Amino acid sequence: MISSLADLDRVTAAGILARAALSIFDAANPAATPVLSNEQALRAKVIREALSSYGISDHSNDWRERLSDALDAESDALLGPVDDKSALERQALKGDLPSDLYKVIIAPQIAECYGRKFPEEERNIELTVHSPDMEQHYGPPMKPGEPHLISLFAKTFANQFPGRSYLMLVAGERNGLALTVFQAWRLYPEDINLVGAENPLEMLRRFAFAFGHDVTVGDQTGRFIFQVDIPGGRVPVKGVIPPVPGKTRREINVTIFSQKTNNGTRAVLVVGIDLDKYREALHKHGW
Amino acid sequence: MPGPVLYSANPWIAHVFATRYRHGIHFAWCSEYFDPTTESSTSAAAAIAPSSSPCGIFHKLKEDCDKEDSHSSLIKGYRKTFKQLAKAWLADASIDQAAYEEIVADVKSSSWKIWRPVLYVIPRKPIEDAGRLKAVRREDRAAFGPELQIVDLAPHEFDIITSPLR
Repeated sequence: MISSLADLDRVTAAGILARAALSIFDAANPAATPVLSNEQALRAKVIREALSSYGISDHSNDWRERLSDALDAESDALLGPVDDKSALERQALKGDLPSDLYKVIIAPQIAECYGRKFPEEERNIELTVHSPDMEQHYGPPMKPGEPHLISLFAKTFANQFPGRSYLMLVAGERNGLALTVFQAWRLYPEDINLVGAENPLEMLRRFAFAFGHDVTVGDQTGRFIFQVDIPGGRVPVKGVIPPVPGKTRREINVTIFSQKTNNGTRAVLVVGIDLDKYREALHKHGW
Repeated sequence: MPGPVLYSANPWIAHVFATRYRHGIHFAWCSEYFDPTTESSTSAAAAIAPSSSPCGIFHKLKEDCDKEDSHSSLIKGYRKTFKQLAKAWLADASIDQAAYEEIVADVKSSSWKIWRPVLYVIPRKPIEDAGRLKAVRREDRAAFGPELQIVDLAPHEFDIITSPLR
């Protein structure tokens, strides 16, 4: 404990130590400017005391480094340890967490969709979440009419053959430091015009229009339903699937994020993707 | 001869912190020369230290991030500085305890994404005409070459170039 600061509260004392530490290597940084009226003189006392207490000679080559470390150690002791996990979880709630800190959990239907090629898609999904080219986050339920805790990510995977280059689009729900991925699609520029798509949500909308079928949820029908509120706990879904000559059944993947609200259930990012058509496109592009 | 643009290389998290906790006001240590090593040996740029070269900083940060170099001296230095800044901001009440903890948690975390380099490209004239372009004193510079600071760079006053993630 630096005795020169003993009469001050711990936060004020930590501020003096931090500004003194900043001034060692970057005296021109405005954050190092003394704030208190007597801080310049106090800083000199603090530095002398730290040099003495920590046995640092200002003739040694590394005295600035050691002094900076000493001042940091003193301010750390005053402020106490930080609860890193809680701080990161708060950021995840807001959609502010660096995305490479998310633990990626992939919903089983995605593995079913990609079959034996799922391991490659699993790597692509993780890379898309951890190193996205674009990301979009809906925060905690504060804004009416918006989903919450939903994140979308997009990443371009370039190939030497332009027809095989694609954009991976991933959508998931945040829960603490985990992200559960419910949608993961490859978007090929040949199949979907992405020009002017400013965010991953718009990319998902265009993908759903290209590869989806109308789905009715509550009182809304469309190939892409951004959000619909439904009283009660169940989300009623109806799909209209046109027949294909020679095929008795098409595989449609209806993906809904269901979120509890005060009045019932909210269905978000609803799409009904024709998986047969999607897989045909994948194979056409060399998948 | 210096051009009409200033360059400042920073980790991405510096831009995030300025946006999130400093009302969008950025502190930028900048140079008139993007890559001093390409300038004439008789110019002032030749005396700029590599550690003050925007090009040098940008590429070194990118390399350290791409290779996830846990011994990166550049990233260690940034971690220290941001923790010191967070304490100073907490003490002057410009951030609250929750924000302080979030800054510290971020810089202590295992994220590499936050350290990827970004380049601020700053039109010089408006800043200089307003008297806001500060020449750094020799004792605070890394070497003899000129170094500049802008302490209150607003978001509309610069463009930002990010490096792609792997």
